[in-house]
Amino acid sequence: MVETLLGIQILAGLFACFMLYVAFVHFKQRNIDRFEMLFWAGVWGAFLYFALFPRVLDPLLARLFVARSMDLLFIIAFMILAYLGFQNHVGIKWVQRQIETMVRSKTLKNAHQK
Amino acid sequence: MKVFVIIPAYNEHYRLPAVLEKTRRLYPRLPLVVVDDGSEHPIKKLTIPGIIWLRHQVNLGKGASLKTGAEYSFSHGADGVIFMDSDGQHDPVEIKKFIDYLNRGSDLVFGSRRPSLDTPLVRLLGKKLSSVYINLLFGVYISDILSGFRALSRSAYGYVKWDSSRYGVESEMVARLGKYRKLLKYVEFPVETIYIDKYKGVTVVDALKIFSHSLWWKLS
Repeated sequence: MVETLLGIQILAGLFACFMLYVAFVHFKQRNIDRFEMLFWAGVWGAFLYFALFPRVLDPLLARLFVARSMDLLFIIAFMILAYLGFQNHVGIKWVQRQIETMVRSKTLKNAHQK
Repeated sequence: MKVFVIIPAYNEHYRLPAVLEKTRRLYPRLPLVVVDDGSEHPIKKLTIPGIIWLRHQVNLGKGASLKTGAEYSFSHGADGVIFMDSDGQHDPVEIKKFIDYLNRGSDLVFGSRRPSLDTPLVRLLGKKLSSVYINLLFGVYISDILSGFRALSRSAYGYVKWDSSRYGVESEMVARLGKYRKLLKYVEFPVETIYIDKYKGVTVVDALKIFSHSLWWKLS
């Protein structure tokens, strides 16, 4: 049975394709390695698949008491965002500390008295 | 007691020379440590004698500058340090009082800005509110939590050494003092302040950050 695609599915599909392209560009620019590229290809490929064929999630939805496939995707998206946000927070703090230590050590080494 | 004066400076090319000249005139032998916190154009080293010039290659913030100054001073034989702003809002005449308090055994000395008719109302209210808030959390009442004119001894530095790299440094010092208030002797006295720039210093966003960070310092 062929179902009509909803506007939100088309939007989600386009977004997934765009994100796949972004991941690919970063891979080409060597900002991410092969493993990360595969990981993100998996994430956005799965997102694209579930956005286009939401019915495959029906058995899971019933078990999790979630009304619609899109709701489940949003819940998962929020979880991923929260994880990435936390990772970013920790990473930035670490980088800040490193920079501060480096700058201070260089400053103290170059102390100049008149 | 060997005391160093630490002056953090960021883009203060115009006001800093007067501050340094006056301080040097009043205290010819006092070591002055200027920390240029990555100013867009490096601060020109003046020919005033006895000034130690430190420069961060990038802007790290006031907290980081004070820490660099303190690290330098304590590793070069200082027994105490005095922090003073570079924009001329603190009168170097008061430095003597800080030294006296340090000599009398105080570990932390706070110079609290005396309210005057020139004090903007928002600052006055903000000051009071933050003092009450910090007192509730840490059991230490300082009437001007955000004043940068303060002094600390070498031993106090070990206890109140801060992590804040920006404007949270003043409140974090008081928060840490609260944790070790049984071990540290602190005192505050009123200082004259000249309010130069209405929009400089702690912003509302900084204040909100300080408020939330204080809760974190309380829990950690």
